[in-house]
Amino acid sequence: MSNVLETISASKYFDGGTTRVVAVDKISLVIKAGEILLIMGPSGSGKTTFLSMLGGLLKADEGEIIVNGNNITRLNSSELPDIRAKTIGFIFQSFNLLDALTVEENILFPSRLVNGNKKDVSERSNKLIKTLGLEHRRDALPRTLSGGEKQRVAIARALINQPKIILADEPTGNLDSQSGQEVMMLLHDVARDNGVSVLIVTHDPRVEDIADRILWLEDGKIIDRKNESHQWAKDPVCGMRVDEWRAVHFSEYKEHRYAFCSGRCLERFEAAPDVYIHGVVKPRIEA
Amino acid sequence: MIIRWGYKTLATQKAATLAGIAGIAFSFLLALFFAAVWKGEIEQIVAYPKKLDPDLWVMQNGVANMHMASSFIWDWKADAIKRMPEVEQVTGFLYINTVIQLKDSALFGFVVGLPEKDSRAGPWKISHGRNLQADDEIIIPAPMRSIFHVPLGGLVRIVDRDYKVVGFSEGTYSSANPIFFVMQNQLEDSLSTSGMLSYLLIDAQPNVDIVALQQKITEKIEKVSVVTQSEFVSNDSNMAKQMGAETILIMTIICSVLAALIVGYVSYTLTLKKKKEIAIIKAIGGKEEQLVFVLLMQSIMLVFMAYFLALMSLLLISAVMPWLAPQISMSISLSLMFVPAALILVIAIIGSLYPAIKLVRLDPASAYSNG
Repeated sequence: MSNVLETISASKYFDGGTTRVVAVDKISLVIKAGEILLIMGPSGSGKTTFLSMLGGLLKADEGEIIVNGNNITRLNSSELPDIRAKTIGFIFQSFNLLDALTVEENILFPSRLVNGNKKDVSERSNKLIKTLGLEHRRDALPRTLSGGEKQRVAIARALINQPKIILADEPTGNLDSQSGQEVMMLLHDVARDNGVSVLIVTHDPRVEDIADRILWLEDGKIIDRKNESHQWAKDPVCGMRVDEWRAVHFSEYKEHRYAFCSGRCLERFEAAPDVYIHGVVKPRIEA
Repeated sequence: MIIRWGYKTLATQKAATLAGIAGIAFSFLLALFFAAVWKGEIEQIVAYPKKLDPDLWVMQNGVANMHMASSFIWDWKADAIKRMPEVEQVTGFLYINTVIQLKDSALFGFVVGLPEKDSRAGPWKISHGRNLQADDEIIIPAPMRSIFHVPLGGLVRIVDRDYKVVGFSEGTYSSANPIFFVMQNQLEDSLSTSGMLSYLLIDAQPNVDIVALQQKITEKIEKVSVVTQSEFVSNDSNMAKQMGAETILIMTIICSVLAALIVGYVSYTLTLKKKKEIAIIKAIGGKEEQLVFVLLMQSIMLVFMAYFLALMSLLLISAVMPWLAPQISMSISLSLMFVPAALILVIAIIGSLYPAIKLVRLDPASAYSNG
């Protein structure tokens, strides 16, 4: 797999009078195509600052950041918008849709910021709207949408220009459990089906299951984190870990009880349970 | 799409947008109103010489208009011109501009001394009362009847003499030069002059070359100024413009600055309110020039809507003005309505400058803030 994003000793400082705060401290990492990378860490650890640097929204004070072959630390501010529009998809915790525009207009918005074939874009938009279950909300304004719907619109918007990487900041932060799991599954599908790299900054431990790698950020420094055992069951459809005590979707099949992250997974399972059970370890509460 | 966002953003913030439009419209209305009144006043000032419409005007050498001017020439010069074969008719009248005492008010006015039984120099339409028939009678402009509550039979004092109002004339009023008509001999008496006239109206025979006649009179009659009707009206109009131009220019500048400030304030408020969305657009790849363009479009939209509202209001005001304030003459022309388009564009650009600077400086990373 090719490298989509690479940072080489990237650092960011904030000067406050006589003191200097090191927000990001010489971080080097590589993200490959289709990889899902999770960055976790306590509040104030520099996660959002690092994400802003990767998106070209903040300039690194030291080191280099290479996005899809472009060293964005060497580009001037007038060159960055094009890179962002064409290469990076942004997903925000508070959805950040444009209030005055409809669902479809919000999705199409980034495509109008770059020169592209309108017919292709329109087809892509229709496909995304269909895939994300937003057909009936096409002309709705954001204020009329549920949190889950808003985030699905934001995902569609992030994907409309066929980016190489998606940078998601707490994408489940403002969502209920079910919507959050649905969103994570969508991001999982995007990476798996479209080969888009997904970098997620989150506190949400439920997201850990879809990640290929989990990095822990603390005091501006990043460390690999070992997979830890949890007392959660696995959703047989998407493979995401589900808290059995909180899950609301269950199904009994061949004397086993399965827990699901969402109604969508439950529906898929019930349509063809053998497909998902094959090779799936019986869900259990781990020690 | 970004333009649509700009337009829809304006549409969704109805209260702020409407308040902004109303504010800008008010400043435009002020500027348009003063310009219309000024233009109306100029038209009224030249209404009298325009209505007289002779082929040539003859007056004292060095004088070339009527407004704020004085002219005296001997009456034998009128007889000399009358004898020229190219001339069909010569009408002379005496004219002064002076202070008129009307009830308790003193105002500046133009007094025309008319030759007996000759209506060539006006008045042409008497709305109330009758024409001059005897000494010590006066015809005053019709709007003064309601402004000063002067009835028929009321007294008007000019120089040292009281005149009785016998008629009210139409089309001879402007606030700068209301025209009063008296008998010529009465005015001569007040001025202690005899055998003097102020202006001669020359009506040429049909098919006479007016320019050639103008040259002939200039050559044959000494110490007179001879100008064509169009030159005379133009001179009067220019004189009137010079007198009011500075005031109107200052008013226009003040109102334009006010409009630009309101445009700036509204744009700035909209920019502040949409700070988060602007940061989002910048974050997802929107260029600064695209956003500045949207801001400019928003300002132009606001300004044009405000200008349209101001125009509509002006038309409404001009329709009710004859009842509300008959003494104010307004003139609304196409040039008055559409020439300021360039000014509007400048105002919109100036008004957008500060918000545009704020917008350019806005940090796209603030899209990550959850406020």
